[in-house]
Amino acid sequence: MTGPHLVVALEPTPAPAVVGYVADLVDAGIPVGLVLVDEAAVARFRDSGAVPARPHLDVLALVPDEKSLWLPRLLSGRLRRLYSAVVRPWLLGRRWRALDTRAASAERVVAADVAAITLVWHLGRRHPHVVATTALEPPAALRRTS
Amino acid sequence: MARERAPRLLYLAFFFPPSRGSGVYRARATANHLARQGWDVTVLTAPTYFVRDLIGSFDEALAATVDPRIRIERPPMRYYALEHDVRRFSRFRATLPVVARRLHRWGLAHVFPEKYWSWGLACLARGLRLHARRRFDVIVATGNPFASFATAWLLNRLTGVPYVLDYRDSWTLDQFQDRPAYPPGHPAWRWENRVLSRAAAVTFVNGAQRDWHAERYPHVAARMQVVPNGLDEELLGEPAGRPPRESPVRFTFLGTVIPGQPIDELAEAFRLARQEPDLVGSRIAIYGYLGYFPSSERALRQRLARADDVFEYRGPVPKPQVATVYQETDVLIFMTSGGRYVTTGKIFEYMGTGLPIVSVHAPDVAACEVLQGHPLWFNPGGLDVPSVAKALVEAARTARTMTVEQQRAARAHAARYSRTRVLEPFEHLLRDLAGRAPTTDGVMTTDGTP
Repeated sequence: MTGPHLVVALEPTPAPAVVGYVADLVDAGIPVGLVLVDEAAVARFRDSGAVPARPHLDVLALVPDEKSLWLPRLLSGRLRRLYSAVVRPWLLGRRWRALDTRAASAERVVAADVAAITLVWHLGRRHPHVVATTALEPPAALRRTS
Repeated sequence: MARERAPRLLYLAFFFPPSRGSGVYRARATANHLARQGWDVTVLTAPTYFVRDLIGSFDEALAATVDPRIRIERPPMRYYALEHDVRRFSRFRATLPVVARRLHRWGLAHVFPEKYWSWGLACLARGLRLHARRRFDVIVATGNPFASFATAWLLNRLTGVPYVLDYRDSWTLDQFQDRPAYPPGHPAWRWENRVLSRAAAVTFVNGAQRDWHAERYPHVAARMQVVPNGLDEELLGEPAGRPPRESPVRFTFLGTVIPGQPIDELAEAFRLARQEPDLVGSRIAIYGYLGYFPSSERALRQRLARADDVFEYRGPVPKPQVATVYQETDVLIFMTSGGRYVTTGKIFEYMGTGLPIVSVHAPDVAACEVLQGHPLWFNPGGLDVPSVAKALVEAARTARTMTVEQQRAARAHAARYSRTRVLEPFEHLLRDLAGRAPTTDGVMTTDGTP
């Protein structure tokens, strides 16, 4: 058995590889906290049924509703794309405090997509004992026992 | 009279001991041979962090087999596509991850289409600095990665030092699928044409690869040659002759197990062959790493475990102990993936043992070129299970009855491919380029036959 994993995926919809990774961890009995960008993303994930609900899988939203943030609402076209590339990861990364307690007790914090890197970088710096990674591969302990 | 200085070689070999990647043995043998022939060899290779920490693919015992006269330098590189530890990301990448990704992709599309390009640039800077201190006479670049080819080309443009490109693997040919590796218009084609055009010589591990490239780049065809992989005799020692085998015949596969190898076909054929009295009680001992990278180990271990009535996995063997494994073997299994463009260096070691060899691979792999004429080669001509089973039975019978003369003849066949013999013409060629050598001996046969 291995410790809790915190998987952060902040694109509007998690990629199939991320979903498969979470499903593998859950199947192996590893406690997983899956952090999605907002409540809408959480609802879409639950509705998809890609990963069956289990007591040791906790799916949570980083912000209540990303569309309600004031800055992106003002932008469109190229400025909106610039916002997504430059400002969004930084803005979401500032929310690391919301995950601070969970990260402290995790064995591994995973940035599952590019938008999650800034946030996981903050958590990794704050908790040096936690593995902070972008690798979506089962941890060594899991490989050894299977 | 002043003594003439040793010819000086810059060798760009990303995979070099202690790395244990597939191309390491050729690079190691080439550098060692040239050092023994009096060359002043400088190797530019991968950073230690890459070999040990990132890919975890290293073998300290192998590093000890590198000639101490060889100078090894490890230029740094960027790890954008390789580094997963978020704490090691630069502040730029950590705070602007989307921008960093776009820049990385732009570099691949417009600068050099390979994730090792930053290592190539660092080699360029290091090579220029070393050259400024003491002039290099020749540059040899071995690929993959092919950033080494671009570095050699740039060094040549800046310094005029001639360079040789050594294709251990092909770049624009997918050698496992037998088709171009990139779509038309991909920057890899432009780069390959560019680096080939100015190369003083281009070497390949087999004739099929040379022919494929000669057809696509006819203006360079005359400079293309074959330098086959060879037998590292010092690793085998002097194999002892063995008496005929009475008890269960011991089958061995020694090498890296990789996903594309016909493991399932071999297991099925072995079960069929075991119905014959000559194989009663036999199993196949598997020695070696599972995959080149730790990430593939789990799946391969499971695959072998599914046929644990046939296979017994015994783990990796340090190079110095390879000879002992062969001593405890009666029949060798030559299992390989790929087609006519793929040569595995392991076959030379296999031949050097003087043991019966059973081929388990597609019918037209390039290794068949060197096995032709081997007196103890059992070739079923493909992966048809009954044919493979028949070859296994015949090899077991031979192991029970073979004479010392048969073993000697098998080793004599292998001796044609000793590293010293296959590298000798290559060394002469380099001396020609360095302006140091008799020119007449430097001509290599186009098929690489020693």
